[in-house]
Amino acid sequence: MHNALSLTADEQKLFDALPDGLKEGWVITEEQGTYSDTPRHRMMRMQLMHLHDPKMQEFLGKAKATEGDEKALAALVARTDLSDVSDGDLAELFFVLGPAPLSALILSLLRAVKSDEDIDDLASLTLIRNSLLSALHHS
Amino acid sequence: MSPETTLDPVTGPSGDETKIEAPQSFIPTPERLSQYLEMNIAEVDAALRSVEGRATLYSRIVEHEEDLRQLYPDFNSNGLREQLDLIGDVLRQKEAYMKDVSSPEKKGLFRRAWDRVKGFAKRHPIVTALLAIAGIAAAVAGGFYLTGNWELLLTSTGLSKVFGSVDAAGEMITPTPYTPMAPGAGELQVPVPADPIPGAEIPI
Repeated sequence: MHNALSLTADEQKLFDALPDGLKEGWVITEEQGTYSDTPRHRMMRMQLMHLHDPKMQEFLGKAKATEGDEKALAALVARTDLSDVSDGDLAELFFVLGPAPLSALILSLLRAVKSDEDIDDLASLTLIRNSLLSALHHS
Repeated sequence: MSPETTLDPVTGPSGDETKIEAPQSFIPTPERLSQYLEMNIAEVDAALRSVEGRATLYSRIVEHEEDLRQLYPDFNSNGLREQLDLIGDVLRQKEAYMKDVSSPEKKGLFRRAWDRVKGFAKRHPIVTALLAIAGIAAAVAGGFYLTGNWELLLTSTGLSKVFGSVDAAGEMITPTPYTPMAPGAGELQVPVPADPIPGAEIPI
């Protein structure tokens, strides 16, 4: 469903408080998936990351070239634009991230919703989180 | 195969070499096992997904424990079984996730989702920053831990605010705190030694 938002019970409360005009047309399903991530699993997800897009390779090369200079690295991150990155590499990055940081972002974005477009963006993130939770939970 | 030191070269996009200092750890990723044990990567991958396969890999690695200890002084076969189980677990998780996001029935939904994410640099730069940092954490985290700049990065990008604190952000998106990932781990891998473990060519 293109107009579905998969939200936890707490997120639904925030969504319910939005103006009716913004909520209109969206179907809410409850996100029931849970996953207790561990540092070991996160570390292993990182170890198994495989990015293929030359743009990402170039970005990581630049990150290494900063040699840990936090200002240079922060500037690099701030300039980052993933608009041309392949779908597969985006999927990899979300897998590395895992569902917990994604949930924190979803909550943060829900608190700042101002337009239909924001909700469209949220729907995308909840779809990705749902897929992550399902895969991580059932393994 | 000569013992490695703690310095490994990594090559940047322009071909320049950067030195990142970090302690070495043996992490039996499919790529590493494939090269050390001279096995086809698909074969290693399949072995990691089954209990029997992991037991076989364990035996083969342990046969070369002394050689591995020369390369990785902290190598300990006691934790190896657990590590192999963990990799098997994460490989299954990743397979399930990748299968789901590319499934025919969800193709349209994910096509739309990725397109939205690609526009986040303008609309939600914090999400783009988080994904970028996840990539950096996976590929080059060790160096940042050692120079102590990881926390500063989380603060300067605003992520510490999203997560409530630097510690919370660090816990969620960085490798195990203060346990740097070995250089060569992750995406920009340092090549493993040209020679496999002596005797590793012996078939299982």
